[in-house]
Amino acid sequence: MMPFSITPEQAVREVIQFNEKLTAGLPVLGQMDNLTVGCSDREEIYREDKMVLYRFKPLVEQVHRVPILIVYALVNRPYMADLQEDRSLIRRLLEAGMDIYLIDWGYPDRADRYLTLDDYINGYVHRSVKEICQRHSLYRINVLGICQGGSFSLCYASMHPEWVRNLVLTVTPVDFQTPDNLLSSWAQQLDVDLMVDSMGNIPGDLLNLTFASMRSPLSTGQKYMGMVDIMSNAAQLANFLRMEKWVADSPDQAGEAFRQFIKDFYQKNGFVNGGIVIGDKKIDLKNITMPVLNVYATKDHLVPPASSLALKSLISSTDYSELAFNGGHIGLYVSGRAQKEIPPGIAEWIKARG
Amino acid sequence: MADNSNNPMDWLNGWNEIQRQAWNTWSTMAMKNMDGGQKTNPFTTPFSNPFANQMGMGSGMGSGMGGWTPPSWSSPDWRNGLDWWQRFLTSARSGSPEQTIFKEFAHWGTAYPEMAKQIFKTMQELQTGSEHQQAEWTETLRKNLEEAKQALAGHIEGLYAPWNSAFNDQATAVFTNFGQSSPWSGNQSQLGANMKRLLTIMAPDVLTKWQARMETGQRYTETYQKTLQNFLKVQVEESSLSLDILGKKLSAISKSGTPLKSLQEIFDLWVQCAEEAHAKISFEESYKTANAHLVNAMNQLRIHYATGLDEILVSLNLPNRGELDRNHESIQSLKRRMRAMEDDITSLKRLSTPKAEIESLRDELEKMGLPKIRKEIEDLNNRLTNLAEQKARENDLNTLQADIPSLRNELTELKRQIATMQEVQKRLDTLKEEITRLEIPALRQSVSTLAEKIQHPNPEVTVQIQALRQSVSTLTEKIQHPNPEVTVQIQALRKEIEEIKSNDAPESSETPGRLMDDPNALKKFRKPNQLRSNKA
Repeated sequence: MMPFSITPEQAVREVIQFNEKLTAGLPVLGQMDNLTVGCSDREEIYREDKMVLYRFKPLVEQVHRVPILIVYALVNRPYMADLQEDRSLIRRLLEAGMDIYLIDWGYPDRADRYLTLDDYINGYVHRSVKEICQRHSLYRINVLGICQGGSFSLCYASMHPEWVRNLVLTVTPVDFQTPDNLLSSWAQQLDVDLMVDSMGNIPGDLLNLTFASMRSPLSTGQKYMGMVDIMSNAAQLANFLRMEKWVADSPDQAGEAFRQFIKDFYQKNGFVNGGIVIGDKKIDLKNITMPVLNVYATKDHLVPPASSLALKSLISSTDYSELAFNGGHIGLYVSGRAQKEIPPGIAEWIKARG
Repeated sequence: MADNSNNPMDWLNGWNEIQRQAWNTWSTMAMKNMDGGQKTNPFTTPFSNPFANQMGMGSGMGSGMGGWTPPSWSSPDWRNGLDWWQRFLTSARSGSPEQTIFKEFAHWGTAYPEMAKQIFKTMQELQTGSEHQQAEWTETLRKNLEEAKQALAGHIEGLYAPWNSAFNDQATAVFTNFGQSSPWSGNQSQLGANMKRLLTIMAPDVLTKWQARMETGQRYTETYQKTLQNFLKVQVEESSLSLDILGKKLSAISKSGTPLKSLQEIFDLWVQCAEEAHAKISFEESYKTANAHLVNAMNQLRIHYATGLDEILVSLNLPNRGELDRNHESIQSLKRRMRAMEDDITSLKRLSTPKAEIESLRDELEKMGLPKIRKEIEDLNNRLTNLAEQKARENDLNTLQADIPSLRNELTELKRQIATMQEVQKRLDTLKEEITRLEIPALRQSVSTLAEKIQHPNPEVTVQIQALRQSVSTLTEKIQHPNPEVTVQIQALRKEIEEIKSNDAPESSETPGRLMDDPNALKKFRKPNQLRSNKA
């Protein structure tokens, strides 16, 4: 028996339907200017170089006493955590009574090529924490890391444990050399010195391309072909375009920070094997004694679950919890189901710990 | 439209017809939409019509094309249509989101018709072939998949264009700066040969350095080309594998009896196969090595030419990247020192006044959590004090508990002594009472009288005593020497008693011995019933 059962008429009908959708969707696509991202009100609290610390306007009268500082990755932009009203980790946390601060790293340029991990973690992050502590008359706050920002948060909590009350990590790589980590397997033979010396900063587009090439090029094609089905629906198309905007919005990486991150974390697997030094401080995850919540995604192809789950055996904290999300790396922040599971889970965990 | 359902052999013509139909429908609908939307007829834009050549027309076809049908349709292609739309959007809103998205869409959209075309070709061959060929469709499929592999090998650069162009853009910029063409354009082997020949020419000392640099550059270029080819080879392997997987899946579908019923299903299956192939190949050592070597070679090439360019700029007394980098590094270093000093100043400012110092210390204490610790220490002290007191009490109690047995003994002894004393006291009291009751003088008189009588007995009494003594002697003699008759009587009595005992055991607690001594009791035994009734 033939594997296809398609007559020319059927094919014509299908193609015409496809074209109809495309034609009906193009005017809608044409009206998609001023596509806004980031739905929650916020104010600038502190600025240093290109880094800006924001505080989000609380949505309840009685906010939780200890605020949360969100440390985002250097890759892509932090508005993914506040993409739109119904897809916003930050908004759900605000609704749950949390007081949220966020570090926006900005867009590094060639003048930032010599920014190191020490500048980022012991500089920007530490001063942001101090600023928040001063504003709230506290001596320690809650820290929430996202992806690479989670790795930064681990480094920070290891070097300055007295400033961190509770540590929340989301899709955070810890063991960088699990067998299912494709990015890591590609990075092992990379001459990162040559790369940084020749490029200075690492172009964001190059990183985007690397992430995209983790899947077949045809999958990308399928995504755009699938877009035709929703093109005539302005709301759905706007959702799609917001995600596309976020995916494409990838800042360049400061050269020296990138060099150290690839070498110490990906190639030497420093969290597991030791040997990471930030500034003049050695990173030892055994210094982490505060309560830790480790949130991971079971279908994460960028940070495999095993990579995150390695944390448990590396820290000294006696109050360690895990929260699994049945979804992918980005879905953990923007999917409808994640809105009901992740922010309430984080808020409850923090409230239970004061 | 031709009725291809009646002529299933004519699939290729059907393919052309489908595209013509699709284009007509699309253009008609587009006109309507644009009339109600942007008020712009896409077919009146100054750009050349993609089908102009096919239609024998020049660019700028003019307006009024509603329901337009190409007069001749030799080999239309959807890609042309998509390209045309893209250009239209580009002209309309440069840099707008729809332009960016549609650019992506147009790029990937070309894969879809390519796939459909290949499928239609397979259909055509199957249906125009002999019955045997139709039955052996798998062989035809295999042949077409092989052709597709060849085609993919030829178009692989296009398929992976975004990735490859990223490298090409980086490297081309370097070559452009040197006034050269891109190393991957034109006849590379010829370029390499010419360059080598040029470099073998003897050069004056002053140029030797540049000659060596160019030789190195040539070597890096060749390395880069080689790594690029290796990477493309891996990509071809991946595509080839995806087609193998597709072939297997189509065979499985054929056997399952549920054929694919739409182009969309075929496209999705194709993507699925490509994804499976990529998941396998991308983890393999060959892919990782090819990928890393390509990136490393590209960076090596870039850094080589960038260094040369820097030297040229220095020779022209112009600023270069090296200088900028060094300045940026210095600035960054100064920033760090400035931040450190700011932190110090902040600390010093806090210490400049006693109040600030107190606040600072209070802050430090707060940070160290001392109030809490102090409270905890206070609580601990209280608890320790309580514990110490409790311990002391426990010790006392233990000591007391240890003393209790001896005290108890002492107490018992005391009680015993008291009882003894009380008994003695009682006896003393009794004695006192007895003594009190006794008439001592009378007794003394009696005793004196008795003593007088003993010393001076009455002769009559003496005689009586002697008589009594004589009587006692006589009795004693009789007892020792009894009368035989009496003895016989006694024995008879004893015998009778024995008989009574054996016939009726006495219910009384009195012993036979006593019965012997009591004649009345003996009588009782003779009437036991009477005895019982008496007892009742």
